[in-house]
Amino acid sequence: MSQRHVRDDECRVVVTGLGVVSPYGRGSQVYWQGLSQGHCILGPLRLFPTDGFRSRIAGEMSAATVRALGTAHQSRATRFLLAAAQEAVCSAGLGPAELTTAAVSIGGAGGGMLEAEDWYWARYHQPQDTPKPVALRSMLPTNQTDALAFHLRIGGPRESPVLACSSSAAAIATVADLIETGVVEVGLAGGVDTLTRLCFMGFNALKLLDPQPCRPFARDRRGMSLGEGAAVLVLESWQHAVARGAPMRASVAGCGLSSDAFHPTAPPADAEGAVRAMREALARGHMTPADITYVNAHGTGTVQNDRAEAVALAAVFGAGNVLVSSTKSLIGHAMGAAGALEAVATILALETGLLPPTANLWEPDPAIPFDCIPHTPRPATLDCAMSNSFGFGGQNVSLIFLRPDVAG
Amino acid sequence: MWLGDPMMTRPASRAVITGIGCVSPFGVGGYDLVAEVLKANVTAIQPLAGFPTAGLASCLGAEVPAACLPLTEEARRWSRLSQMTVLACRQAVAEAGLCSSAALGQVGLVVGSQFGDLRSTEAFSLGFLRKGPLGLSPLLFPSTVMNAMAGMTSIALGLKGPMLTLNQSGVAGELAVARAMALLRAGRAPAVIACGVDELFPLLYETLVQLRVPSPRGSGEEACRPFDRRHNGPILGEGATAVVLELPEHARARGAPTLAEVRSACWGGIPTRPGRFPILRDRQYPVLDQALTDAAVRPDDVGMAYLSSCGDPQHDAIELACMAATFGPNGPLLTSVTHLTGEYGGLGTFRVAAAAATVRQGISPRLDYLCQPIRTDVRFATQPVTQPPAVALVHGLARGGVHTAILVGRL
Repeated sequence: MSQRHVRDDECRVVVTGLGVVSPYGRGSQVYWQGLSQGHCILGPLRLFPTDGFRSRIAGEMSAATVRALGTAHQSRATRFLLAAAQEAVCSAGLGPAELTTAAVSIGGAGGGMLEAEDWYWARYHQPQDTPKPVALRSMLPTNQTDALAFHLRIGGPRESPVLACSSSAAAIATVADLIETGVVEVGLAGGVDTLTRLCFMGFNALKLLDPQPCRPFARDRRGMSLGEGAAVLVLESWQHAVARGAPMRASVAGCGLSSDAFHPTAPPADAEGAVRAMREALARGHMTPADITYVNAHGTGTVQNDRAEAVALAAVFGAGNVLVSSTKSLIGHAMGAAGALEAVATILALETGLLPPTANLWEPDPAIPFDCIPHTPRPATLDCAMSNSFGFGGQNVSLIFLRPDVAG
Repeated sequence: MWLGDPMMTRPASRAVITGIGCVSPFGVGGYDLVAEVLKANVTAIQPLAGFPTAGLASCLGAEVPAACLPLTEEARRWSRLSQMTVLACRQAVAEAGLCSSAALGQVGLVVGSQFGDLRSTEAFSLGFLRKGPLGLSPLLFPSTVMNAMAGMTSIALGLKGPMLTLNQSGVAGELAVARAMALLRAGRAPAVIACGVDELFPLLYETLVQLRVPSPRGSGEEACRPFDRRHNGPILGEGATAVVLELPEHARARGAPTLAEVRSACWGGIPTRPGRFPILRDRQYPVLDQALTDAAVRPDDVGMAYLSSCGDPQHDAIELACMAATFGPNGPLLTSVTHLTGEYGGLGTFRVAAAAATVRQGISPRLDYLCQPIRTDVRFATQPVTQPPAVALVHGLARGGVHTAILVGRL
């Protein structure tokens, strides 16, 4: 154990609530049950036509789950987000008074693009259609954040970060910053994204989708699988959480943010930006690589990304020195929501001492020198774990979570 | 990796502005261009030339001329919106004297945008609608994600610090500045570029006109007249303005030019139904109060206020009510830039640049169209100011309820 205890309790940011809507259904328990059983939920995509595309599968929410989440006038993304946030706030025991001054930051990439696509597709075929303001408003990611703030009467700093696949990880990092620097005591951070035609078509056009369920870290991997969902974390200063007797699920030990400045869609071969993000998270948490037992990898399943992430992990931790898995192999890549969904998975792994596996990893890539926990969950004793998110544009975010009893 | 200044014992709450870059209907430039635009007080609003508006109820806008955008080999790979962003940021770092790759490697970037690159999104979608899966362009897809402008800028300039894109209606530029300040405060970078950007394009313009967002709503002449009884909606504009914000000690250590100081930047949210303006009740302006407290500035010290109101009657009324309640009848001179530049979500960084010119040289835009103000218990900037105010406020209020207050002071 290194010097992480030098960090005063007063400076700590703790996680006091979690909420999830995932392809497994509503709730963080349902989510964890699916992950910890290694249940790959990827299947045929039914939300919109997929004829003529290379990949036609995804991690899609069931229609019954979606119907149960909200009212028809809300966008699919808003429904997901409100349900996840309600669970998070409830589990944290937060009341209206705390929410009045709380920050809220919800990352996303597509926002309510699905409904805007419905409008645009109809407009293309019938140009005289009158625009539907609701569809257009919901298109922008800020609309979901505004809806959440309105619904829960959240009055503090509000943001909608868009960093492609690292959007919601960045939301967690930046809200943690606001708490650490004393701007707010409490914040909701997370992300939401739904399956959209745009995203599905785009990654198909880039030939980055695997026709089969994705196989991160496998020798024969052929790309990723898309998913959807929402996850929200309640972050709080340690003092505030103690004062109100809040349940502490984990500490946010350190967060790193960096840019590759290299290529719009590809990481550099040496993964230098990802290395900097991980090292910054460690440095801010007063930790050494030896403190980290498990990394929930970005692990998309594309040839380039997995290789680059392995290079980065080897540079930071040394080959084979940390356990790694990709939960995207189980639920797909939920784009802007992925970082928050994986942060929740990482925290639940810390709580339960069970590491979620990488599905479909029948033949590990020998160029990836890590135990990637194939197929079945792995019991482990762990204090600290890292969650990585890397997005288009070269946006890297690493988050480190700590079991709350460790540094207390 | 920059992990803060070990000599700093408390979080930085102030920053200096060391460079400005602006791509606008008035041309491309830095601080001097912004100062000239304010001084001349001549509008860029005119009938749109970039695309047809026949059959629409509106035809005016403030467009960035095609000649302003680069024709280099490098720029051909970027979307129009990315070109504007890169150009503005490049100008800003040049003015700030941040030239070496080592210096730029530590710099962070926050881009604020209301609509992002919808032009690329539409072009990408049309490929499919016209030709099916084979019509999709893999080159266009990355630009459809709203962080593409930031990604392209970081690549073009070699920025390796934290990079965020914030989506926000109305006050995306102000929010970019506030978040950049928060990154400095958290010790994530010694300097951060805040850039607000948005563009006009046919589908968006046509749709907003059909939704009766811009002027003229109802009867009356098509015009941008914030705070005047004849106001009947905004005129849409476009552009990108980048502001380099830097920790004072970092700027001092490298001998950087300093234009003004951001003394505080606060933001919050008034819970409001999405798409609507908030209903403000008496003295419910904690963001404004906090900004004054953080900056250790009394309301009387604020000599000029740049408001986000752009001629939307409801927006104008709410923001003026906020000013009247906070500052009273002898409060700051209230002004706007939208009658010059048109309105777009990322305009807030231009307002911050303008505020820097106001406190530095006493230059400010004049609301010379204002003959029937909607309130008489506040003061409007209808004449040139006689001397530079010590502090200028950049105030923002958006649909959905996001509220921002940035105080810019003279050095």
